[in-house]
Formats: sequence, structure tokens, C-alpha cells
Amino acid sequence: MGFFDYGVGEEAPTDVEFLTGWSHDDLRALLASTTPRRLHAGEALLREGQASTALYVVAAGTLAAYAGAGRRRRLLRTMGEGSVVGEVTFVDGGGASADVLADGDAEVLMLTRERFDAWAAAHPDLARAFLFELGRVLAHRLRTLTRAVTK
Amino acid sequence: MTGQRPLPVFPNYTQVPRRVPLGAWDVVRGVVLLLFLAEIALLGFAPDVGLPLFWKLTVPVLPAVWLLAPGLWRNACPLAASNQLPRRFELSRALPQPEWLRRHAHLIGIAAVLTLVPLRRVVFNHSGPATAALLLAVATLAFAGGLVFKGKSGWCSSVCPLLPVQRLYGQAPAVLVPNSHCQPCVGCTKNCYDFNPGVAHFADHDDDDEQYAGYRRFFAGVFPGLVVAFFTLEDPASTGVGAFLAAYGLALLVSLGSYYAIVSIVPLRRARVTAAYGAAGFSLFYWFGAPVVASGVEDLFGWTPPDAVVTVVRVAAIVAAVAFVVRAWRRDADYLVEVGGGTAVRVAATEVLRERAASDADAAEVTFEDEFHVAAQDGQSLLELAEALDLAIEPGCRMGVCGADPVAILDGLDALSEVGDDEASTLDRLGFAPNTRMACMARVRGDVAVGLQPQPRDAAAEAPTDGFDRSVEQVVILGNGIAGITVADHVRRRHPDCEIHVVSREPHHLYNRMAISRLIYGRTALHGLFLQPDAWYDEHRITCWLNTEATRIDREQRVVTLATGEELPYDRLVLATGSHSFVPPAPGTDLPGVFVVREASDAAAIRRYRQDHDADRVVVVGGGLLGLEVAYALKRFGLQTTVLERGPGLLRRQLDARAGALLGEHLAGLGIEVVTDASLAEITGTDRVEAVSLEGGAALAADLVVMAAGVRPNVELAAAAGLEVERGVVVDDHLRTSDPAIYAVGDVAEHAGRVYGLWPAAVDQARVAATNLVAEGEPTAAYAGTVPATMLKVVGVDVASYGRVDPEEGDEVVVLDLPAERRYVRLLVNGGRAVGAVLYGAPDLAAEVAAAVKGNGDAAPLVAALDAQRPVPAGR
Repeated sequence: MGFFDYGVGEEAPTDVEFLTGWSHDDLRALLASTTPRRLHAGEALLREGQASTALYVVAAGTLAAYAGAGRRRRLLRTMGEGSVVGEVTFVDGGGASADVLADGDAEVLMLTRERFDAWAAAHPDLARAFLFELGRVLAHRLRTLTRAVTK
Repeated sequence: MTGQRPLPVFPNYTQVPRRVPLGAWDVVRGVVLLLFLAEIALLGFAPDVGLPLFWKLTVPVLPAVWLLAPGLWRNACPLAASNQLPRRFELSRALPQPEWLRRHAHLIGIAAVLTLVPLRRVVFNHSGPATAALLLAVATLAFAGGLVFKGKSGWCSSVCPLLPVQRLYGQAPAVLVPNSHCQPCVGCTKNCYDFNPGVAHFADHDDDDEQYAGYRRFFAGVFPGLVVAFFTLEDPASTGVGAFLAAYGLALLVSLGSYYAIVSIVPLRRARVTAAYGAAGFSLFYWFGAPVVASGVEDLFGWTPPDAVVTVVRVAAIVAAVAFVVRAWRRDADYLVEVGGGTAVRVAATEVLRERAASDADAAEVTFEDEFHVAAQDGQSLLELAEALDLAIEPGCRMGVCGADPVAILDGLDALSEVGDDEASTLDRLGFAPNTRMACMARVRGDVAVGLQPQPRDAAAEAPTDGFDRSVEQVVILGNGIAGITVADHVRRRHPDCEIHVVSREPHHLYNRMAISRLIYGRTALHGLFLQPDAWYDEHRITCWLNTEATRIDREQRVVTLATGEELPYDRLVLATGSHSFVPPAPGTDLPGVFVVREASDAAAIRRYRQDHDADRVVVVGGGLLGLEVAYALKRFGLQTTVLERGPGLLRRQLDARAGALLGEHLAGLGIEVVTDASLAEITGTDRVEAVSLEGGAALAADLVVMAAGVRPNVELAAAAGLEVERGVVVDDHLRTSDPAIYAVGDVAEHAGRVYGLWPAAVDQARVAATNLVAEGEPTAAYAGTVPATMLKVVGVDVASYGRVDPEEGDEVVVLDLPAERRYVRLLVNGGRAVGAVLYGAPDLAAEVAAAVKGNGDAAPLVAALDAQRPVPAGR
């Protein structure tokens, strides 16, 4: 969200941290199953509505998510190093909710469901932790939304 | 990207495009401040003009501005100008707000407005000097606030009595005018309206501090009552001030009570009810205020506007208020989407990502379809990369022989590994443009651009043919698998004139048999599995007899009889009839629900059966290559899957015990149960499969059974024709059977006592057979056997096996076992030569190992490569 990111250190961070508490080795083991996709400036990682079952982590550069077309086109958010993209489609295989484009040259690490399944077979304990983390992130979002809707 | 970057859904003032330069706002503020002072002077010295000018004409304009373009007022307000003067002239102490003020400033502003409004009726409406004094006092307070507190936190964004009304009306601006005061933002207030006017109201409303949020709701609740009371209560001069204030308070309470009744009963977000109350207040203000404005015009100009003008103003206000509610509710929906979906998720350990990005930085770049760029490790195949990107590519044998994955190299052909013999032959068969490569064989060494659709070859590129036997006029090939079609292809290359007939029992052209397990879980049936374009057969003048069975070979007459009654005479006959699944002789294998997987129709039938019978437990009999691929497919199809293996380990023909055990663990991780040392005793069920019994008494419930217990060559036709048959149809080194006019290739052929049952062997044999059967004079080409090679990737792990599996006398065994990385390599070396290899989870070594084993090459570089990967023992 970051509606009031005054740029003077007042705004509390609104990001949810993912894979907190993972050792660097565990994280490396997971990232070894990802594919490094490069995006040149302005290229699309995802298009709104595009079916996808991959999850992406921004390793370098910045991506921006946009929705709508023409004059109604809006910037939803920008996503820098470490940002996770596609966590919902990774779980439900549905269409992407926004166009995601590279601001400048960027690298994203792509984890397909198939790669994840293979990795999970070899690392069942980490895979369980990964899915719990994913669940936690989505639960956080659900809670935030529920709280807002019922206010 | 071209043009301006789209704005966020709720842009802050630094993001909203500025139409009016900052300097112009200074001029506007100067003018407004002068007008403000002039009004004060008029109020003080000429109240007859000042009072109607201020209360009846100036003030009634403000709500409309606040509703439509609140930013305009925020920039031009004379009180704000007064408040910001110390900041502009660097006289402000710029203190941060104390916490109590930060939390309760809204309350002070609300209290002020609730006090001042009734006082208007009591005092200010009638007294120019009192009003002038009031305006001077608030301007001074605003100035003082600016002297003490930083930014706008001393007045405009905290205690200003106009702020509660501005925030109520300003929550969904029709026109966004960016803040021109704060250059730069100093972050002085919470949920600053000037910073992000589109969302400040929602953010206040949803603040976790219920008291803070409560002030916004409280003010919205009382506001319509405030307006109605202000305009409708009788003159305090006639009722007495006490009665007036009591009635005023009652009106506020009724209004507030109705608000809280609605938010308690109606399932609406409170922010939406608040917007509706703001709209009600606005409509009521102009309903009652329009005649007041008209009277102000009359007071000042002696002209009474007609009633129609009053009506127009009232209707316009209602229309504006309705539009405001629509805007506010839409903005509220946008806000929910932002709040719900907008929480950014971020991997905490960015240093690991940085390290990864740095290691990828120098990697070559492979671009697919002009769209997908991937940083490729040296030696990765295009197929691996395309699969990792989830691109539409159909893997087949992964050894360059089946032809499932041709791609066009649009740029960087030289940056790929060289084309080997197998791949070259496949590329010839497929007949695409010279820039075509088999994705599984093309390994990356530099930047490459790839198209997934191979390009057609230019016409007239056919090689000239010579030296063929013109007496061979009719070639009949039984079987249209990879062996039969490769024969047809190579015969046509060498012999431009003969008729070629290919007879196939199956109703399909050559398809990727290695991929049929995908027909079980995939939804696209045979689409994408055909290995040659339909036109290829016509272009090569190959007559196909699909869905046609050959029933008899008359070697005397050289005629093949078809089950349709037709006859095909031949000069050369090729048996490429393949093999069929072996079904162990156990009771119950004929029950409905027992399947083999040999042909596309078998896989399709399994998919059908599961849908018809709602099957959810399957037993796969056989832990070989096919059994595991089918088990994985069934698992993906959602079935509870058990594999029965007769021996002690999986893939016994391809892997050693350690690799088999690793694969077993992997399958268990995927949820596929493997039972080793399990022999099928019986399949039971009344009218269809219900259970599988093992020797030793154990039983497994099953709705579906798939037999994958090996294959047997289809030798019946050859045997009936009197050809020499052992396990397969016996052939010599020229691939001739015991009848020199008849050749046998592929799964049906037995060469040097060996039936291969592998695609690379079938292709090798087909090439030799084709060369010989059209050659003039005695056949020259000889087949020397094929080094067995197997690759299995379908279960999500790279497993490969080349050459000899079990060590023989004199073999040196070199092992690399890295359990943590699930990486295992076992090399068999004999006399310094690589003679066999098993690879588990080491796709990077596959090409090098395959080349060394197949070429019987020097093992030293491989052994050195394995040594280099061993972790250094501690203490060294």
C-alpha cells in the first residue's frame, strides 16, 4: 500500500516478509530450483488475465504492476529486490491480476509448480515450511481485507 | 514503454501532474490573502456590505469547492497562507506535534466548528466587527501554529475548524489539485490529506486507533443535523439563547444517533455511510443555503434572483452530492482492493538474491520467441530451458532421435553445441530449414535467440540421389513407428522413384510414443504429439495405410495381404511392427479396469475409464521406465498410486542400487508408493477390478491396474511366414532377416542376440536397413549395435544411464555421491575408457558422459570433473 510514504522515515513498512527465519543455505537450495529470467526495460513478466502457475522473486531491478487500459490504466505498485510476484496464481493457477512490467533491466527467479513439486519431493520439510509461509502471507492479506471490509 | 507512466490508484501529490506552476500559486495566495484582508476591513468598517458579502456570498461557495476540487482551496486558503508564512520565511521552530495533539487535533477542530456554527446565529451573522475579530483571531492562531509546529501540523492539518468539513467533503475529489505548499513533504501529520487526498479519509476511518478513527465518524454523524439546525432553528433573539442551544444540541444528537443506527444495522462499510452523510449535509446546505445566497445578492445588488435560480442551485447540489457518493463508494472499493491485494510480499534475505543475481550476471542469454530471456548456464540444453520457462515444447526421447522438439535458431547458431550424428539424422528426417536444432541436443555456449516453431526448408534443397537399385520398385513397411518412418524417410532419400507403402495398425501418423503418459493427465489428447507434419507424407510420396492390419506375408509371391482383403506386392519388405506389452500370466488380468500402456489409445482409455468409474486408486505393475512414467502421470491425474516392482529396486535395467534408492525416495516424496520385491499373484473383482493380490498374501485395493511389466516383439507375422525368429525376428548385420528381401528393424528385430527396445537403436537400424534395401548389389551398410542410453525426466528429476550398468571384471567404479544435493554419479571405467554411467540429478554432466560412453572415450577428464565436485574433507 504505502499511501503515506512521506519519504522521511515516518511510514511503517507495509510489506509482509516471506521466508522469514530461513537459513541462507535453505534459501539457496530453493533458489537452485528456480530459473533466472531476464527482463529488458519495459518487457512484460505477466499480462493481466494470463494463466500462470509460476511464482517469481525479483533478484535485481524493479518491476511495476499496472491494471486497466487507456486513461483508466493505473500503477498498482512497484516491486524491487526481494519482492514476490505471482504468489496467488502459484496457488490457484488463475489469471494474473495485473500487467507486470520491468521498469528497467531486471532479473526474476521463476519457480514453476512442476519445479516446486520436484524440489518438494527432495526437501519435504522445507516444502512444508514454504507452503506454510505462503499460507501465512495469504492469510495476512485475508485478515487485512476482512478487517477493512468489516470496518 | 512510451508516454507518461500511469498514476497509482491513489496518487500522492508528488505523483499528480502539476498543471499550475508553483509560483502561480504564490500569486493566487497573495491575491486571496488581500481579498481576505479587504473583507475583514469591510466587516469592520462597512458591515452592511461586509456581512452579506462574507456570510451570504463567500462562505456558501466553499462547500462546492471542497466537494469538487478541494485541492484548490487547500492551496489558496488565506488561513493556510497565514500558517505557512513562517515556514516560507524560515521563522518556524518546526517542532513535531506532541503525541496528544497528533491523536486529538481532529477533536479540537470539531469542537471549534460545533461551537462556532451556533455562535454565527447568535453573534457573528449580525455583527461585522465580531466577525472581523473572529477572522483576525483565527488567522493569528494559524500564523502562531506555523511559528511553532512544522509543516502544516500547527493548523491546516490539525486544529483548523474548517478541516473536519473539508475532510468530509474532500474524500473523493472530482478534480485532483496537487498540494503546492509542502516543498518538500516533512511528514508532519498522520494520514496527511495534502499528501494523498484520495485515500486520507479511508485511512483515517480504518485506523487501528479507534478513538482517532472515531472523530471522523462522529463528525460525519452530526453534520447533517448541524446544517439543518443552523438553517431551521428559530432566531435565538426570539427563543432565547438557552433554548436555541438546547434545540441545536438535540439536532446534533438525532443526527448522530441516526448515523450510528445505520452503521449498526446496515451491512455497509462505515466509510460508505460517512460519505452518504457528507452528501446529505452538502445537499441540505444548498437546499437551505440557496435562498440565503439569493438574499445576499439582493442585499448587495438590489436585485432578486428568480426562484428558478434557487431551484437550479438546489438540484445541482443534489446531483453533485449523488455523484460524490458514487465516486466515494468506488474509491472505497479501490481502497479495499489496494488494502487486500496490495500488501507487498518480500523475501527477507536479499543478500542471497544479490549473490544469485551476481552469479547469473555473466551467464549467456537465451531468448525464446523474442520474449522470454533466460540466463543460461554453460551447457544447459534449450529443452531444459524451455521446460523451465513452462513454454509450449513437447519433450520426447531427450536424445535427439525422436524429433519431438525441433526449434528454429534465429540467432546464435554458432553459440550452440555441435550437431551429432543422431541429431543430424533426425533433422534430415524432419526436413526443416538449416537453422533447426533439436532442443534437447542443443547446448548453450553463448547468446542464442530461439523460435519454438521450426522454419520450413527452402525448396530444391534435396540432395541428388544416385547408385540406387532401380529394380526395387515397391517397398512395403509394416509399422509406422519411429523405425518404420525412418526407413521410409531414408529409402526416399536414396531412391526417388520407388513406391513406398507404410501399413499401420494404429489410426494415427507417427507420434511421440514417449509422451503418451501425458494423454492420461493432460487435456489436449494427441494435439502436439505428432512428430511429422501431415503434409510430409505426401511431399515424400509415402502412401500410408492407417488403421490397417497386415495379416499374411507371401514370401513366394512377395505379397502382403491386408485384413481388408487388399494385397500389397513388394520388392522389399521391412518389418517394423514393434512390440506389445507383456501381461504376466496372472488370474484377473482380463478384468475391466486392467490396462496396458503401449499406444495412444491405451492412455486415452485409462483417462476415459477413470472418468466413467470414478476410479481413485491405481496399482502400476512394473517399476521400469514406462511404469514410473505412467505412475507419475496417474499421480498427476489425481490418483492414489502404488507401483509394484518384482525386484529389489527401481529401473533395474538402467540404474544401480543407490540411484534406484534415491529415485524411490523421490517418488515417495511425490506421494507415489513403491512396493519392491512384490510379485503379482492375482487381480480380483466381480465385474471389474477391485483389488490386487501379491504373492505372499498381501492385497491392495485398486480401481484401476496398469500393466507395465515389459514388452515382447510382435513376431507372429514373421513366424507365420517362416522367418527365423527367436525372441525377435533374427537379423544379420545388414538388418536382413532370413529372407534377403525382408528386413526387420526396431523393437521387433533381434540383432546379435539382443532386442533393444530403444528409440536410438531403432533409428540406427532403420538407417542401415534403408541404405541396404535400395543399394545396388550386395548390401554394404552394417549395424554394429547401439550403446544403450536412457534418460528419464518425467518424474521431475534428471536420471540418465549410458552403456553398461553392472560392473564387469576389471571395471573401475568411480562414484560421486552428494546426498544433500541429491546428486549421484557412478562411472564404470575399463582400461581408462568410460564404459558405463549412471547419473542421478546431474543433468549438467549428461552430454559429456553420453559422448564419452558412446564414443568409448577417455574417462580421465570425467573422473577429474567428478573429483573436482567432491567436497574437500575437513582438515585438508
